Amino acid sequence: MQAEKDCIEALRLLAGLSKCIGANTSWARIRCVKGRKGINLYLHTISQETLEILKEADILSYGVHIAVYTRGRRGRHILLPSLGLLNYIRTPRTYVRVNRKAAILFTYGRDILPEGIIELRKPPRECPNILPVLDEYGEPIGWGRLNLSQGKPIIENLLDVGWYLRSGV
Amino acid sequence: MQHLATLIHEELFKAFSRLPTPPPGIAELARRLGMEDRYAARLVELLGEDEARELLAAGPDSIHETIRVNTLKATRRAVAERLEKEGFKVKEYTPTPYGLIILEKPYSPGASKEYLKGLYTIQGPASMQAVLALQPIPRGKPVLDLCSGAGVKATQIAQHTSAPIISIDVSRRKLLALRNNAARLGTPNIVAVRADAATIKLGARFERILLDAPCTGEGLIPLPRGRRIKRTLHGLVERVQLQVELLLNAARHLAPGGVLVYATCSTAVEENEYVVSKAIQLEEGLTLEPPPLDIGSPGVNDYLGLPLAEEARYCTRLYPQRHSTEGFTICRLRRTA
Repeated sequence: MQAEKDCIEALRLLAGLSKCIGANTSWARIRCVKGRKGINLYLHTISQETLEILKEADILSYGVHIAVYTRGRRGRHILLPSLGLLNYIRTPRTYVRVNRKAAILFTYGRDILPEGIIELRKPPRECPNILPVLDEYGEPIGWGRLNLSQGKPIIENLLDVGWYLRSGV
Repeated sequence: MQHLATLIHEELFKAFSRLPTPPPGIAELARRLGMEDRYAARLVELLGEDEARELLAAGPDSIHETIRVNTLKATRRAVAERLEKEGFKVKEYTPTPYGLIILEKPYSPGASKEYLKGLYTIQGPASMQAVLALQPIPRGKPVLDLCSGAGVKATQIAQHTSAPIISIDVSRRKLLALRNNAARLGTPNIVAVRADAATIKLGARFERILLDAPCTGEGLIPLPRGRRIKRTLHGLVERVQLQVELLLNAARHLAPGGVLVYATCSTAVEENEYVVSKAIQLEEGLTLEPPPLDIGSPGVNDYLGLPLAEEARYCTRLYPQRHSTEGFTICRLRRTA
């Protein structure tokens, strides 16, 4: 019952985030799967008929992993987008575009300093402080969090595509 | 099944007893590769002394280094241009619609930003042929992908069809790699299932099945990872026993008129033509047909006196020394009844 409630809440947060970052996920199905870190959200196009064939099977993943609904540092539940969601960004309302050097450093896990930023569209008040990081081609390379505490914008690295290599899987 | 395993053991060792001692030069090369002498004698029997020597002496440079462009995200030309800007030199790998050969590289193609963004993936030139042999139906019924590993071929199938792809593997770690590959390449139609492909029973039949069976990796001899494997006749026979079991179970899931592609990264007749011949003999209504490929040598149906089906010649063989690919064999089966 709780898992179902968590799934509904996760989907609500996903809808909000998708609107802010311009991700289109409405063309596919979303599935909630309980995992070790929280509720994993998968975007998939696998038909119900196919899933019926697999109802007894040990399924590890459905389509593309797009987010995890988990407990944050302050104990509150939050939705963390994963790299798979980057595939579905179309016209972002909020983003940061960075130069080539900053993009390379970002994929090594580093934060983005003010001099690496080409264009910044701050998240509107109603959006979470998470924004896609775009490289010099305007293609997404990860997720960042805007930090304005130093007076100038710094983009903290939340997750970058270099993770695919660093994860070792 | 025990009876079948015993039969395979007897048939293969009877065939091996006919092997002569390999010529000294071949035996020496084989020993350096951790191969039993009689194991290497099989290669002489199959290819002749000169070509067997060529194969055993082949290094990584004898195989094209290729990548597969993810046509779900970019065109082959766009990725080629992007890589050229990064200092790579590439050219189209024409036996496929999306392959690129890496001619020169400033660093590993598996570490570029384009790779991480999912614009391409690393895949051997022969490995790409297995999916082309399957001819997935663009908006067809579900495809079954057995022994899927990290999903390199599953994500390739997804470039041909939006139909669901059921990828099955026994290894959880490999399926986690599949999950990452699916996210990187943006393929929403793959479902990863942990199960033993030799015994799984699904309540459905499929029009397309790919079985990329675990093998001795004999086709990877030119590559450093292929050279680290110790190869014995006993090891080979054990692989064949498993492969027959896997193929029979795959065939039981094949719908009438459906296509099953059986592929291995090995050019051993025992692991390929012999395995499909056994499946045809034991499973009624299965036939072999030529895969629709633009590359390769015909299969073998006369080797060491093994009971091989006449149509085994329809299998396609790829060799490093002939085709500049990793060694690979691809057989296409169809259920007629």
